[in-house]
Amino acid sequence: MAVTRFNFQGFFTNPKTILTLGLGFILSYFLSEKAIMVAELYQAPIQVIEPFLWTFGDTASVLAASMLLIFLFSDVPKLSPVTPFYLSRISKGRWLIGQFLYVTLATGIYLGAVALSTSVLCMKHSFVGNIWSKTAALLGYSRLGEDMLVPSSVKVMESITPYSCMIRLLILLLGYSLTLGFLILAVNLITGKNYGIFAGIVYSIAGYLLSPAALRGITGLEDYELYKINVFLGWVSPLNHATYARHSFGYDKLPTLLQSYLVFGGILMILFLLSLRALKHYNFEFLGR
Amino acid sequence: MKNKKGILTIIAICFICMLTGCQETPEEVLVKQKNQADVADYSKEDNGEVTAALSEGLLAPETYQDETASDDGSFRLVIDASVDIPAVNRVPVYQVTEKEYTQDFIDTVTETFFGDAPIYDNEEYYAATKENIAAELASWKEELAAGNFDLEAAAEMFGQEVITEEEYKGYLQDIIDQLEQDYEDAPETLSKTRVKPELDTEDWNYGYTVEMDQEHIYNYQIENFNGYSIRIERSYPQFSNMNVFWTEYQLLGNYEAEALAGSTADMTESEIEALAGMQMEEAKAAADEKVKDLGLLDMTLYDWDYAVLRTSQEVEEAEEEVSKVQDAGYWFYYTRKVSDIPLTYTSDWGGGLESMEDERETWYYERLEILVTDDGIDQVNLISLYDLGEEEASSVQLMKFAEIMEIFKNMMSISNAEVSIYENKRVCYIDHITLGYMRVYEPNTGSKSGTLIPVWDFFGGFEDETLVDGETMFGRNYDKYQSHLTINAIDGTLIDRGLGY
Repeated sequence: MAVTRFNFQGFFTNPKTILTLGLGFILSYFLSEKAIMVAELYQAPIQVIEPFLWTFGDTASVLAASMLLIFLFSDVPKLSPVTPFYLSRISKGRWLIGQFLYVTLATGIYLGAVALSTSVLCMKHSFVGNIWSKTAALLGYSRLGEDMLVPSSVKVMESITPYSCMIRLLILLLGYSLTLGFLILAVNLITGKNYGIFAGIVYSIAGYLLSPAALRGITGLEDYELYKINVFLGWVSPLNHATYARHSFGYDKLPTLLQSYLVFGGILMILFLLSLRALKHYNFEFLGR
Repeated sequence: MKNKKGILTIIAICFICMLTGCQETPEEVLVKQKNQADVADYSKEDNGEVTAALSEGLLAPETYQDETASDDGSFRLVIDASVDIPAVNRVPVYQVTEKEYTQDFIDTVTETFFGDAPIYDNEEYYAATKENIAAELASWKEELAAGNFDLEAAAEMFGQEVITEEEYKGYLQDIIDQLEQDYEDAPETLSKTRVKPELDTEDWNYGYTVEMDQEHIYNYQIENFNGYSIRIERSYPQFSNMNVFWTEYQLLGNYEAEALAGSTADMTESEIEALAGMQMEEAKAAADEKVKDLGLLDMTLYDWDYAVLRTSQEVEEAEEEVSKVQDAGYWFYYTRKVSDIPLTYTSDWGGGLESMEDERETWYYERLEILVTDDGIDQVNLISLYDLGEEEASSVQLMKFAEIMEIFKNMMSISNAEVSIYENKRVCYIDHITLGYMRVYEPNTGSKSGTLIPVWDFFGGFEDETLVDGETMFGRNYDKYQSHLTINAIDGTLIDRGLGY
């Protein structure tokens, strides 16, 4: 806990945090603006958490939001003159767990801030009950959602209530953020330089950039077999694992939520072990600032 | 410490604002959760007593009239419909799976429609000879040598916005090179070898040509795409330079029939019957006999339509397409009847995807459609037949008709919400409401297994009015088999027929 607490020292006054949360608010505004516009246009109520769910509703939105997390975690592990003190008093494993807690809590604060932003933005029309709103129905069942690029999937709405969806979404995003944060940390530790940020970017966009058309060319699959490539991408892209709508609802072979949790858990375990190993040979350089 | 308190105060204020700004939670649930365990939950206990007819239990009228409009009046729903409910007193739910086509079944289909007529492989039948290729080659060489290119037409031909002369010459040279290569490999004359249609489990689409006689040549297609399908279609070589197509002449509903009938309204029913050269009963007997020969005893006639064969050809002098009626006949639509309840026939084939990023393996709905003319069978669609599985529930509790209508009216208004943005107005007319079975995907059981559940379908047409570049455009659409909304009769959830769930 002391390590985590130390990492949080000056967290809220750090320009990087302020910028991340500020940009998070702007992102929330842009991603929820259209849904709120529909609510206003049709004088329809909106469930308070729906704009938050749509903010992370598809891979493009998750990618946009995760770019801010990469920025926030670009300097993990947080090193300071007191780090050797911690490392001499506690085990390296515990120090890493402290980093883990830091990433978890920082992600929680970021997601909380986004949820708060979206809720505040829609508060004029919102209600708190655990049912999907008329705005959600308008976006899902008419052409409005598709035309306005609001990822309000009927498949999602018909399978779960808003708050249950939010809990699952938070777990997925947490899994994604932790793996992202720990990848940055592991690469920073292994290389001894701040190359982790590049690894984070590759991790985020790898699956996103894998085009079905390119894979189709390589595999030689026919048009009607294109779904196989989409399923493959659904499994290999961490972004897809982090997106609630890109999971199996019983009609396809995409990963289930549990499988995604396990994928994130597995990646996290590997990154944790790699970080632990790298930590043994890590040369701390302190400039005495 | 002060900072922390400040932050906590801001968060608390935001939460308070958020909550005080909130509206009351609506009582009406518009998006219903689909829970597959529901079928068991809605099972009725069978105590052996004879219960009332289904229509009585649902408190459903024989006809239903109502009219509603959106708040801004842009969308209007006019219902003046017959209500069609099967004459049963219980509604079971069944599992279905894809019928695996076997070589025996292919043989039965071949025998039923073609007897021992000679059948050839399409690739061989339509292969180009040296003579064909030489003629084509000569025409392309002539085009290249002439040098007076119509680059606008060339760009359109190659799907480009603009094309330069050099580019076009390059394309022409590529075509010529390819044809010269083909010429080397092409046979001098066609050698047609009789074959027996076989079930090829590797290839997803394979076709044959059947020569019943010189005038009756058929394309016989066996596919494994979205389920096994067999399609038979008569070729019309005498119209080889024209577009040839059959259109349904639908018996229209009770509103603005003539206007909504579109291009097929230029003939009366008696004129069509005269052109067909046979009465409906005679054609139906021919179609029924084929269904019986196929051994599809569960399939019963659901509905029929007049059909009109048209040709269209672009006439250069007139700079327009000239359309002609060439023949007429009858389309017969068969659907499976289970426990005296038919599967509702709609124009939606299913097998749709939410987007190109969809990850599902899809499955067409079962279809059996036969087009009969005085020349015999003209077309057959035998698509994705089912194998009826176990009864999942012997009798399920259905929602009352009034509750379903309430959902229908609400959801029509919601699903047409975009009208207020894109159109001046839209009027949707419903003239036929049907309760029947539909196959929905059964989650977590594979892509070719499903459940037959009772659903309500709402059929009719619509008119719309749109402002395009300052000009008001009017649109009319009527397809008596297009369901405007499908509602699960058990729990009132919406079903997308295109997607199948």
